[in-house]
Amino acid sequence: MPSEFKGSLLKNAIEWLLTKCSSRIEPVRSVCQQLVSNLAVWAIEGIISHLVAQRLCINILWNDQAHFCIDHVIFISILREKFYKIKDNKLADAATPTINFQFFSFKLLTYLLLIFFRSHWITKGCGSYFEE
Amino acid sequence: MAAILKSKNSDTYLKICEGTDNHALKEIQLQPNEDIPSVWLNTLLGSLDCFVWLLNDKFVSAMTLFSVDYTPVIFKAVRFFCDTTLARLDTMDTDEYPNLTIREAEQLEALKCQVVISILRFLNKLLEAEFEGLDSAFLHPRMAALVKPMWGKCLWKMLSLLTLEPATLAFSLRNRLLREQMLKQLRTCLQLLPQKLPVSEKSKLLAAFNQSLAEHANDTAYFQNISSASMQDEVKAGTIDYADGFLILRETQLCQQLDEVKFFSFLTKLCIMYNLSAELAPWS
Repeated sequence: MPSEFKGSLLKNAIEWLLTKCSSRIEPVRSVCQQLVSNLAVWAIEGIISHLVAQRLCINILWNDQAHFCIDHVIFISILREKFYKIKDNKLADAATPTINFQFFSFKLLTYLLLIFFRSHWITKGCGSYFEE
Repeated sequence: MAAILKSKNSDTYLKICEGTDNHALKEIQLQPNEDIPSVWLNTLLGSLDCFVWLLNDKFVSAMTLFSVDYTPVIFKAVRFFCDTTLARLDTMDTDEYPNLTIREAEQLEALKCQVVISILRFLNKLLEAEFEGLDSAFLHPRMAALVKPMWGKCLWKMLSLLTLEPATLAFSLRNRLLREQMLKQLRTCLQLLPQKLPVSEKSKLLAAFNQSLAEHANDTAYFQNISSASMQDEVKAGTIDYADGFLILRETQLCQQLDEVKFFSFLTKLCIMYNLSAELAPWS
């Protein structure tokens, strides 16, 4: 499970998502509505009928009891994937997932730079040792 | 929004669609000659789309959605849009948007057209709703009282204009895509309205259509302008508008309930106009 979506962030993710379903920006609104509709169906697909699933699961989600309904990992993965897709398409006007994404990217970049310089230093160091 | 999620009341749904805080759909006041701001139009459009989505995907029934103490803003907002748009038609100058560039004016017109289409969609979803064995939710006193701010002369006048004179509300033949979307929703709306409306409102709706038919049948402007070559295109467009309107009316039950004399006068005029521009053959 991605760390940024652990624990209470699940609730934040749903909060963020629902505020977008009446957004002034049409593409954001459209993606949000499609995502919520899909989530409601996917969540308990195959257990009960399509219509009942939609009604039941969306009520559960809005009552903040999502963990009784669906598998967290699948749900969060879908949310995460969709948020990042929205962000990549420059449609998102929300802060939370974007900040998480930027923070994640920044950390990744820092790690990559550290690894690069460290290995460069070791190689150079070893090289100079062998040259001697 | 956290409060919204914890709430188990059905106003949760209303708040999701009408927004909260800075993004909320609010009633606004306009200065004389001031047009509706595009930000407000976009907010209204977002709310209407959201309501249609909730009802369309059956997440919630219309009766549950509006059966709360929290008063919905959406009905008043729709009324405000209709009132302002029609008032603007009466006072419109030659330069419709003096402070806007041509491109900005076109974008604003397109936005208003989208709002009109969304209002029709919203209206259709409400008309399809049933409640406690009644075939129309509007026959239930609580629902009828809630929707009352939206019903009125302006809404019925707007529907009659959309049927007989869509170009006045920017649904011209050049705007083909938006025009077709609007006509599709309007057709459904006019089929449902005579069946689902309470008797008092139905008589007001019929009165608005009868008045429009009489106005168009007595309008001699088309015949005076036909001699002018520059007006030919406008006359042809008007003929197509009337023909489309006639076809829509004929498909619905509304046609049978309209004033026969007025409808016949309108039809006679339409036949004369059709002969004048026979090459168009709009209903051939």
